[in-house]
Amino acid sequence: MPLNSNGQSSISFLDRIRINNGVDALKAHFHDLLTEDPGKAVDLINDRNLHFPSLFALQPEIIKLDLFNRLSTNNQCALNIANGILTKQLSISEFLPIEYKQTTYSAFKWILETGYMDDGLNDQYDEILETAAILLVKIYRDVSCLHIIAEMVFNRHRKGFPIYDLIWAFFEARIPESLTLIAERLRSGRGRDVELARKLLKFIPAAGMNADMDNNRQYTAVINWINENHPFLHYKGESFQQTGSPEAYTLSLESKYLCKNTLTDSRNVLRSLSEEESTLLDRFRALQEDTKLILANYSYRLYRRNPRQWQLWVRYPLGKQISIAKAMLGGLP
Amino acid sequence: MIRISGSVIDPNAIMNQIPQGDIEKNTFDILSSSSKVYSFKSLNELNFELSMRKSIVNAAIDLNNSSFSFRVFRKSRCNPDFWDRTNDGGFLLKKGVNPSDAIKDIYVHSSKYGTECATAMVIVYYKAVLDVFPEELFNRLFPEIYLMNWSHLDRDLGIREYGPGEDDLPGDGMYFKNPDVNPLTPEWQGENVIYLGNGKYYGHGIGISDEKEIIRALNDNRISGSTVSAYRLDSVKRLDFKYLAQKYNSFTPPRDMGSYNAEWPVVYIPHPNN
Repeated sequence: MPLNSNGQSSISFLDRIRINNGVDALKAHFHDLLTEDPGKAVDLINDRNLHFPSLFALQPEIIKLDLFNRLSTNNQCALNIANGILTKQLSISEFLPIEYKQTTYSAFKWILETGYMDDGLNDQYDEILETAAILLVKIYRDVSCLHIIAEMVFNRHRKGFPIYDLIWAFFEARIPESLTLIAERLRSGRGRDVELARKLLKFIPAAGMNADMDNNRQYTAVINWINENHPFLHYKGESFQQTGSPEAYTLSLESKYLCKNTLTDSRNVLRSLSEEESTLLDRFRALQEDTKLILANYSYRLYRRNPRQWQLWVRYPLGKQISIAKAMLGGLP
Repeated sequence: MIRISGSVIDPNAIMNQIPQGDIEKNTFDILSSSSKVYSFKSLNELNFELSMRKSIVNAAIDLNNSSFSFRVFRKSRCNPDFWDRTNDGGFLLKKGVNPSDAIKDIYVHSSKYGTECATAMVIVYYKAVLDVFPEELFNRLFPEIYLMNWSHLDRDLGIREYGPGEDDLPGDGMYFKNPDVNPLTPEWQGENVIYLGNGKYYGHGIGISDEKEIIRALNDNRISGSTVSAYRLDSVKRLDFKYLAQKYNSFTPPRDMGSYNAEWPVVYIPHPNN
């Protein structure tokens, strides 16, 4: 149960009724309260600790009893968003203007953060949460909600509910480090979590090719891979709409070899390179894939360990770079 | 170019031995004039692929002409007599129902069905195989069908991605990507299509159009102010024609299937749209 700064329960009165006694009890209690003490009923629904599922459940009563104008700004905004999503009347141009941006952003965030635990309530509720998640990532560039989206994806997958748009939103954040949120599920005790995590991380060698590996060992290998390679992962943008086994990212060995992020987007447009870097890359591209891998791995490990030594190594002829890399790779951590 | 049994063949020499429909001839022309080498074990295997590609094109045109609707997975629907709608919006073949009957029903009672574009492509592929294979073989090969985008493909369809740099062949699956889609309508993040030949594509929800029209439709569903256009990916999806040909040719029909003939084509029925 969430606690406030004084260590007391931050669950609102109405949420407590809903959680303990169900939605019907909440509606009945709210209705009674409105008859006895309308002011108190409005205060309770405007409680800053109220969670979205309670507001959503009470929406029919709010409309029936004409209470909308007495709701807090956040509650009004959240209900407008919910209705807009369900009636397909929501337009991005409506909530992008700067005067509304902070209010709507806060409302979207509140819907997701206080609502995701109840994902699966019903189809309409789930659609509102899903849209809130997508818009927070795509419009507001809020990547702090990615852990919630990951949680929703795996919860839904366990129940067989729709996951594809949420997965799309998660990867559209284009934050390679967030892959660790998926990798965490490799250690799950639930087989379905592990299965989905492996599927989503298939482009990582340790996740895709070692399905029979011990879960903890696989997790460690995948996390190490992400930590080492995330600066050089480029977003491919593949989705389940496009293919059965999408690869969200691809590792650019060229970038890793140069220890520099060389590509700018999913269509792999090259950033401007110095003449020296271009020459290096031209030679690198002519190599066999396994040699590229050895060279890229050695290059980045040396760079992290000793940048000055790397500057010397990278200026050697390619043949010498390769022989040093092959000889030394085992000696580097 | 086309190579049969290891030898490059002169297209003119076998022209009269291939199925004579427009789609088959168009496909044959692309294969034989390509700089890529297309190898077949036999003329039979080549003809099987030509006929299967024609069947894919026809199945796509038929689905487009039906009342099969576009619906997002959350609101997808199917005929419960043949399919169980799963929680994620997919269609799972009902127990006790013949796979062939269930696939046919999508075309017969099309107004009872609605889903997204990826699943529509998979339906087209199943229908195409069904139209070529004897029902007995189809039902034996695909006893469990789960229609849900590209996620639960039957291994026996052998759908794989090829490219970049492949020839555009009628019956190929392709994808148009819309990187700046309006996030309120993620279903417009791209469009799966079947290439029909002659620059035409079938995309579920968009219909039969050329590349320009598909890109325009996707661009119309971008986030406002975007200047990043939709585009076609340089890769194609193809059935495993050789594997399916092998299954077809090695099929031993039950005794009561009187007219079945393992030599391709079995029965050539011209499609009304060709």
